[in-house]
Amino acid sequence: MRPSLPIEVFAVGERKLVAGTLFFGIAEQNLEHYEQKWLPELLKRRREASKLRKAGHEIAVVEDAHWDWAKKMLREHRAPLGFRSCALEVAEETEGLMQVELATHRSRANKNLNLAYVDYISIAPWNRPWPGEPQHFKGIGSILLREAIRASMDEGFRGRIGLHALPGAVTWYHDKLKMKAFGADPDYQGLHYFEFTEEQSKRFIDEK
Amino acid sequence: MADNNLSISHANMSKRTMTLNLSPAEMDAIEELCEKRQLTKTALLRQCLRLYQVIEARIDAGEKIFFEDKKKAKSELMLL
Repeated sequence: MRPSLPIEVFAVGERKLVAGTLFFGIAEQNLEHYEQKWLPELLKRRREASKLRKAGHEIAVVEDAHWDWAKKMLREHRAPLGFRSCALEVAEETEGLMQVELATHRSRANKNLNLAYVDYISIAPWNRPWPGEPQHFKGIGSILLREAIRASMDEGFRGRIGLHALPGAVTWYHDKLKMKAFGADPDYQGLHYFEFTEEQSKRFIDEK
Repeated sequence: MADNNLSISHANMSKRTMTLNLSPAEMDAIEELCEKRQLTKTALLRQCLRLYQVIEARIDAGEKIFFEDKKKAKSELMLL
């Protein structure tokens, strides 16, 4: 049985917190949910995006539809100590996925010090803002990031985490979470790099 | 030669402890790295193990590992 933690997630429609589970490790059923439920919706939204934008809707680009979670899990199976992945489920549906890399990344804010690198983080398409489609749950991304911080603390990295943001998520990391910004990274497809320092992580965990 | 003992616990729910016999030079190296990386001895050795496992897995998958100097010149790391 996969280790897990009980959590609470805000259900937008019911306007209340509902019970969910944070599972450590991404299981076959989560990969199936991604392939069979997330992916068709992500691809549909990707097709609709330009039309909606032309109609005046401000929508984020669907940028993670090409992520192959099964492939990502394969590298974790080959070197399980180097990764920490988790899946957030509500009523046995997968609502968020994350894979954190623990072996090879160092902080840019604190040279020489290790950090937990959030390699991939994704929430189900129905939990993202989209015209005419109310979100099912809010706060999934924050719950997953808190887990990344916990992984960092478990490994002695004192809560330091880092990540490269897809263009559509830059505002969230920069303006909402106020992560320390290092700008576009020429060595990583020009994606913007962010970190939570030890102090920022502590504040973020306490904000819950 | 005096041995230095070091206890390591595994992070998983069921923890196990092992004792390492290290030379003073090896223990000095651990302590130096711990100070530099601000890690406990246990955290440092767990990090070493993680890194070693990731490197082994990537080598086994047919990948190569390179060091790059300041002039962007690359040299392949040969692992024994």
